[in-house]
Amino acid sequence: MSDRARILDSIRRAPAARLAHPGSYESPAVSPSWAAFAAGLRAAGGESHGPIARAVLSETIASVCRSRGDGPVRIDPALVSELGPGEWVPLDLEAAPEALADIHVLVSRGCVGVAENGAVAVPIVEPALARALFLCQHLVLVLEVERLEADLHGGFARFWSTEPAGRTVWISGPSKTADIEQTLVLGAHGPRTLAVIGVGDRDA
Amino acid sequence: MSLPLDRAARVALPTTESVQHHETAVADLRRRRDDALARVPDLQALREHAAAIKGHTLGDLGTYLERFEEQARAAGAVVHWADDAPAHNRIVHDLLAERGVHRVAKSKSMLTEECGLNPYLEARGIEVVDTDLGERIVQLEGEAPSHIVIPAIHRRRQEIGALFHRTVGSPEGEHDPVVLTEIARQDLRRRFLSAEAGITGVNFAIAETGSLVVCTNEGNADLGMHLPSIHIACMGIEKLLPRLEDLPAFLRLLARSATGQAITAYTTVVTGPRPGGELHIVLVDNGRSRLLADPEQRGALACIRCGACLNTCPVYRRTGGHAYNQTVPGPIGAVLAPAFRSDREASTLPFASTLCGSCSAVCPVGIDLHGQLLAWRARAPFGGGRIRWVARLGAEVLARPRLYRLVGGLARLAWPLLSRRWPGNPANAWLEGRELPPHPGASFRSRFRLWSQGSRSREGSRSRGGSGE
Amino acid sequence: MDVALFIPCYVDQLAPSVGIATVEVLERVGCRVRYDPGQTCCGQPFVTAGEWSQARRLARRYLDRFAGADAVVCPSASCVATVRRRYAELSLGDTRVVKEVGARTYELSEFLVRVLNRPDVGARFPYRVALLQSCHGLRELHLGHPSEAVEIEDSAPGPTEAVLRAVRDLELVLPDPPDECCGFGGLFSVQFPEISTRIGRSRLVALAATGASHVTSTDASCLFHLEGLGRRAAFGPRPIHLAEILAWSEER
Repeated sequence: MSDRARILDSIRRAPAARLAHPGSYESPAVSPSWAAFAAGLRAAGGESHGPIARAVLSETIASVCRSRGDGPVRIDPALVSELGPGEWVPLDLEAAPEALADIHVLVSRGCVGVAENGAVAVPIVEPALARALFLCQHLVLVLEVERLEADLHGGFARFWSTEPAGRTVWISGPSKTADIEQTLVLGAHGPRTLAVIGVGDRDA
Repeated sequence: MSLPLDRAARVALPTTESVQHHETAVADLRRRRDDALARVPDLQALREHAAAIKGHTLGDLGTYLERFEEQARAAGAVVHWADDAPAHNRIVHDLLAERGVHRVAKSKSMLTEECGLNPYLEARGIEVVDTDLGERIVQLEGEAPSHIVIPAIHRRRQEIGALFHRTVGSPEGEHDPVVLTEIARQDLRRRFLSAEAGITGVNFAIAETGSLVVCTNEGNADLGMHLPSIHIACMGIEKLLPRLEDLPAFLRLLARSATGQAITAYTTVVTGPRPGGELHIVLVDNGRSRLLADPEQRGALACIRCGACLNTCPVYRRTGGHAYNQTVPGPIGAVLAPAFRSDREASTLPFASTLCGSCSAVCPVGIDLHGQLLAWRARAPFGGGRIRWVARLGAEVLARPRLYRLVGGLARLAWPLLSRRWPGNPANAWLEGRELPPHPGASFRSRFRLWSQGSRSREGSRSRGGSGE
Repeated sequence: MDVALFIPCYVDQLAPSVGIATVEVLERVGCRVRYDPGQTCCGQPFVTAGEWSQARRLARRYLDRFAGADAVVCPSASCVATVRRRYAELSLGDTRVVKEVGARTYELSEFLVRVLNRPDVGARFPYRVALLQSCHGLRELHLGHPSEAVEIEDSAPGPTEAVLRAVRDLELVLPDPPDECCGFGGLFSVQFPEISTRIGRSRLVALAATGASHVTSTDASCLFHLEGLGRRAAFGPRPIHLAEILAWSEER
């Protein structure tokens, strides 16, 4: 008997305790606000910018990147076309991990934001992007304000209504640890800072 | 008559200072948990929902495991099944050996701790680097994690500074957590880049899509998953959830219950390997299906390893995790011990609780932890000790009011003798750190009799404790 | 109202004054108190020890003795919790009797507030008193609001706090944290003496930090533990059972 058969057999022999699935969760109806998202993000150690008009996105990104100090800035190629003229260097999707480790600021796009916890969904289908998200020193995410949900249930529903299960990371604030005497330190292995720039004109 | 945990506590946290440090650190986590959950308006509904999903999934686990396997395979992952810890270790080692892997970056996984994977691989020439900072600290220290969420919670910054000086060459006397974390970051980044495989644990697995969900704050699991071309994910069979839609309820509870964060910094959902990579999923039973077959105890399989019951437990706070001598300490550990171990020490762990009930009250998925501890006790009274005859004798006395009165009278006569330590005094365990109360005088029943016989003199209530003057 | 008194074995033998005070308080609020000397122990020590066959014997005895009572009042929350919550798990046969007797067995402050609606029993106690909340009272009988239960919004004080707040000139304080276990745990205190005293000592420090002259509780057993620790260390507020405070009146 294989381990698989043995395990499944042993589970099936357990006395039945069939309980109904509770169905979908009805979360309290709260409309998402950028202010709530910004508070959630701040609590997670991140910073928010905006919401800003699309016209000033390029200069806002440039200004946030400048505030992070000197070093190579790389832009998610999917975002470059939206930024208009500028000296944007797209992330090299063929780059070796060692090269990605030299990125100072990475700018990418968030798909859905969640107000209650400041989390932003970022698809990580491209291996280089997945690596760069965690190897860069500072991370900047651009999020359409319209793509904000009040809680995680809403966030999940919104995100996975259009995306396959695939590979995705929900990011809430910079990399952090409190493993030494509960002292919070930002920048454990991944980005030391996270900025989320809200674009669009939903409430401020 | 003291049980193993009582003796082990003196070793794990030997000084008053070490107890206080641990107590404060752990109580702080409980406070953060309270603050975070108090801000969730729908908390009670959320907990009931999460408990119901777990109950449902465990009731149909075989179906969900098969579904998960099918979906994970369809997404390109390879699914392995391991009956027990040796099988798990063998599978992981074979995967690494066949690919000539010598360096592995591993993120936090209580399952691989439970299976003893690190020593198994190291004995076979594979270098395993634990990448979670807390796990790295205990790995360098050569000890086990003492907490399931904060592995090095028992260590002071000075100890960690000295350890880093010895092992990774940090400056002598440096113990600033910010500096030590930076040193670990530099050291581990190098190791991530040279790792040939990543091993991670799994927080949840989704049957409907074959996805794995991994939650970390440091991003270490992600570096382990996305850098090397081989990702091996090790999980207990109880980690399943039916649908992706079921996940948010758990994510909303997990980090808040654990550390008071609204969510961990990174919640990564992976379905199948990345292009050009390999994903292996090892499904491990190691006693879980046996627990599932135990109607009184199966509830423990709903555990999402948030650690809230450890943080609130008055016992765990003063013993530290190492005293439990097993991977999972605290109330949930005491519940799991007799299910996973057959030694006598394990049967005594369900007694390591004052039954204050705080563990059950904080559990985000509604496990009746102290009720399960009581149920274990009923199967092995006194932790299997030889003093059952004393209990029988006691019950004989208590079942006979006259005999009870007589024995009570004798005990009160002997009170001065019982109040002092001497070899063979049955009150010795009590007297270890405490005095007996002062001589109580006559029993209530005799006073009540005298009292109701007429005099009704109310002097009785002044005789003990009551004098506020 | 006719009240059957249940004075648990350890109160009978070791804290008789708590029993007397309970009678005094109940009579003061107009109850007729009956005490059946055929009672002994609810069986709690045997439940916690896992000796359920012995626990069953004592539980059946308890049910026999109190089956006919309208109300059973007991100055010990953990014994009441045993009767109300644990008997149901012992498979005692007639579940109706188990349920009824359990529902009609009350802890003293619970009885005063929830049955009689009389939190004020006319007591005066001019001291600062720290409340040591009984874990079983708190979580099994809901005599207060456990600090971890953040999902419960009701913040009205439970019966134990209510009766103490009604005592004249008594200044009530709570230690920090407000409701951690004292570390007694019955059998636990002798099977794990080191851990039990570690917990108790830290509670004693927290209680002393309130500046209270006295510490009170619904459970004399928790107070024995703290008293024993305090006497050994010559430290900490003086233990006094809730019933004894409530019996302390103007005339004294």
